[in-house]
Amino acid sequence: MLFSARVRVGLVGLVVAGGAAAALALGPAGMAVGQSSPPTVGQSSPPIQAQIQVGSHGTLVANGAGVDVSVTASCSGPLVESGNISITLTEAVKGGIASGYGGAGIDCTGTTQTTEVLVIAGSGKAFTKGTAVANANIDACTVDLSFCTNTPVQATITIKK
Amino acid sequence: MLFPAKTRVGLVGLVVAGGAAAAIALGPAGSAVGQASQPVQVQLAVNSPATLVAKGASVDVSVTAGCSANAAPPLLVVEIVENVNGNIALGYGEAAPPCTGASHTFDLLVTAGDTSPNGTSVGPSAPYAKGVAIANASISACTSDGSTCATQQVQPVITIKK
Repeated sequence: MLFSARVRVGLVGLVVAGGAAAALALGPAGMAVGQSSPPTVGQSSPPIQAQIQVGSHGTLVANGAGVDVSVTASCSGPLVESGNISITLTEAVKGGIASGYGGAGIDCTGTTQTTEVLVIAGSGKAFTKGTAVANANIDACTVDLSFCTNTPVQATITIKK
Repeated sequence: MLFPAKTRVGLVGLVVAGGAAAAIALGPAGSAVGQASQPVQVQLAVNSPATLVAKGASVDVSVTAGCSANAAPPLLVVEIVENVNGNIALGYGEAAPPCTGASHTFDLLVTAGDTSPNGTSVGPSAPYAKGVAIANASISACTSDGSTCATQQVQPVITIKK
């Protein structure tokens, strides 16, 4: 999808395919760790491990048309190749709400990876310096799509110039 | 960088930044009998500056794009987002440049407040103005049988002038 739909994930928006349950545990410093449950008898899909953490600061881009946010994430699993991270940012500014969405792909190698994700403002107000709420998540599936996990995290970040 | 953030490259995607003409050799046309489909190659760059049209109702932006000759016409979408006195101006423009194996540079009209590529309204938009903006652009192309596809996304900051 070129311009992916601005999907918003709820506080505990676990997507579980193939009937498997997923367990979510919030780690320290706003880091979310998701681990799909072990397959039951008769299932062959392996579990997926994923975690995501949002940096404490964002940086204004193009005078507030966007915000660069640092995201640290990882995912792994024997039949998992890649995942997606997405982030929505919401900030109360003078006269209303500034909000936007950004996303990136991630290779599920088990290695913790950090990248700058550009959150682009949607219709309404531009971002400014201040504090904002970040809702981020990482989702990944096995290559046969029999098993998926979605790990959300929330954090309050500071937006600076 | 460990994984792509602002630039997502498909199977083989080349980025030409800074508005330079894109002269690349893209994949051969078609595939030989008995061979698997050749990978699709795509290329995209948004050039700066862009130009205001109709007092900011739209922006004309130069785009350099290409796709390998074994690909069906691609979908190319450019979203331009600008902070105009605290309010967001945003809109979309779309094109389907021919897949010839060479790159093409052309002007694309991005209209403020237009609908997104999936048909949903982007909501109210301020008019564009002189300044800087984010150009969120992508190109996606597949072989005619859909067996292989490639996508590339670029998100440069561009200047908008009168």
